[in-house]
Amino acid sequence: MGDLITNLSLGFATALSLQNVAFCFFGCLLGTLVGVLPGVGPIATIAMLLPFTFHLDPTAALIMLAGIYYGAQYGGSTTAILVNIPGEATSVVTVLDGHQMARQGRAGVALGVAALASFFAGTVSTLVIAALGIPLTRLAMLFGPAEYFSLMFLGLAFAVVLAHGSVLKAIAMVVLGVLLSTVGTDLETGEERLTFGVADLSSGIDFPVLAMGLFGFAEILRNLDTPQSRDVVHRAIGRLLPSWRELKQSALPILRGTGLGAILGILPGNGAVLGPFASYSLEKKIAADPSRFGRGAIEGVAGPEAANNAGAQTAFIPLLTLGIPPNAVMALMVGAMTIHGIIPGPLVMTKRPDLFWGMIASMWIGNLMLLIINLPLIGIWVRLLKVPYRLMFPGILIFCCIGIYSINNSPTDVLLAAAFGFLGYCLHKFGFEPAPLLLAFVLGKLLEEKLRQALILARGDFMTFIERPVSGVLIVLAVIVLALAILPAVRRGRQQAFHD
Amino acid sequence: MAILHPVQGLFRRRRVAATPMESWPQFRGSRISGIERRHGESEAKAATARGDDVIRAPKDAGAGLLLIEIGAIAAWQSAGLTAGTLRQIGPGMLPRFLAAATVLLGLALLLSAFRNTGERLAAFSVRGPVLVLGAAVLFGFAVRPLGVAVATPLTLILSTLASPETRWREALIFCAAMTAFCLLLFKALLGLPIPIAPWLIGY
Repeated sequence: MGDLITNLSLGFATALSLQNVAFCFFGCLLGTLVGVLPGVGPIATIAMLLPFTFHLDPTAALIMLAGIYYGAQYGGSTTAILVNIPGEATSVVTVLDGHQMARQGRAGVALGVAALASFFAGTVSTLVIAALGIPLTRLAMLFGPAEYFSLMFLGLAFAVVLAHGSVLKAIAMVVLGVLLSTVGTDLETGEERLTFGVADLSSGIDFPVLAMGLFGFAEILRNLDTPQSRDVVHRAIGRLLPSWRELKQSALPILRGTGLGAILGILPGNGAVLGPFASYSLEKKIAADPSRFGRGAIEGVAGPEAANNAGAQTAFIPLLTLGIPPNAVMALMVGAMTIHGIIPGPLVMTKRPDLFWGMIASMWIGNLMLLIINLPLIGIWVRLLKVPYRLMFPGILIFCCIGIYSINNSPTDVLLAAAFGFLGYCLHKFGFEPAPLLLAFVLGKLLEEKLRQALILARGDFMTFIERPVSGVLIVLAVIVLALAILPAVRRGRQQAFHD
Repeated sequence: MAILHPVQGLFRRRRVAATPMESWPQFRGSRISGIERRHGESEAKAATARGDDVIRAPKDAGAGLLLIEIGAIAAWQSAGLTAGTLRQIGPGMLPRFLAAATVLLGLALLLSAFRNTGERLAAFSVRGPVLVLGAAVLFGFAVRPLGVAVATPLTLILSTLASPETRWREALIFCAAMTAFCLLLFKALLGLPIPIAPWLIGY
């Protein structure tokens, strides 16, 4: 406990430096902007900004990127409530009751409760991260190559299960992601693999190039195909602070949502997405009068919003302690860390305690900032909702282009990103979801390295993955998870969960 | 969901089955009525293919073909690499295994498209991808010789054409402002080592 306090105070000392507070604020502001603007996702934005963080101090860079991430979660709920469009995948549930509240002239209360719920959840999960950080890092020290391989395998299995749509397609995305990660010079022999003889490919595909192509460019193409009609609420937003009665109504849902979200967020393979869904169905199930849900029930906003934010933050746990990103955004954070020469994993905490604890402390500061900047600035966000997409996408495009070029000063990278943009567009048309691909791409190199190491240690015996107890448990879990996803009954439930 | 671009809308009125998919060799000659082409059909009906079509899930069929293609390319590229043994895995083992897995998954999707009724393939638009990706490619080719001061407005102007809603005057003002903003942000504030206008000022 004493450790926790010393560590957190080190964190706050780092995070409260003028520079870091400024970057945290900038990140939160930018994130909210991204969350509010429809058609610009956090993955694309973080990918877009990655190259520009080269010249920053690593702590500041990571604090800013993290700010964008949870800022986007906040902004996403604003559009969900006011426009009936979920800004982010995780605010899909907020649309249901939040927009109804807005139509009844209670938009302000919905926004206020969402902000309070998110802040509470953010505070709790910051503490959870701080508390779980040390024990999990110790656990990670015991991990050998076989355990790492199995853990990543489990993460990818979860990514398959939690992806939308066909299981077969999700598996294909994971396979394709690992395949793309093998492009370039082989780690051990130095042979060139899958490079088509192109010299620029021999160092492998740069992560920002793939991410910007697959998300930045492809997102533009997708949005151009589907002109959105926006149903902005024109009624007055009303008072922002909920009444005492409304607060009492939402207190328990917030608590339950925080718990659910925090637990699901730790799961590898983007468990955070499930949080809001789980919280909404729980609230609906235990409510005295379930028919109120979908007609502006405040519990339907409070619970999922808390779960959303709690999950978004506990998703940092596997990344910071084990070095394994649980979802595509965290995969981008890995990219950011490696750009600065930091290998994410258990060693970060001992080698760079200021970075580790500074980032955790900055999350709480960021959540506080969001509460402060979001509520008074609602008017500006509403006005921003009216920026036409025809002006937004050329801006996004040119930012991506300059960003990609500046990574290696390589024009080939821009062409490569354009090719990935086309691939991303095709994947979308054929009903693939590209997020698992990105995750698999990031894990791919490590996956292969650990596989090879483990097999050398075991003298080529594949049974090592099952015989070693920790690794065996992880593999069995992964197989169960995959088997469940293929079973028709669960599959139906899963589709329902995503479509409700 | 009938997603149509103006360019394609014209196409479709003229000739009933002129979706880009049909120009794909794989589809020629086979009877595919799964690709959206009926006008005036209700959205719900248009979303899934009809049960009596040969290919019942065109979206999955396309997905399968794409995977087979990618897997085949990867297999061809990794053919020359040594696979090694399990005891000492070589550089070729994983790529080859993954390429084979990709092809197999593609085959499974393709086969399932003949058996299970699924979604139709939404039409591919031409204007958006060509102009937006073309603008990015243009940037790639122009940035070294012409510099950001020229490549940026060129890319912006070409890309604004991708949206049918673009208005000329607004777009031109936007391009000028955006170019100035980019130069200010990336060169003056962030100090990125990008060429501004080598032909004019030497860097």
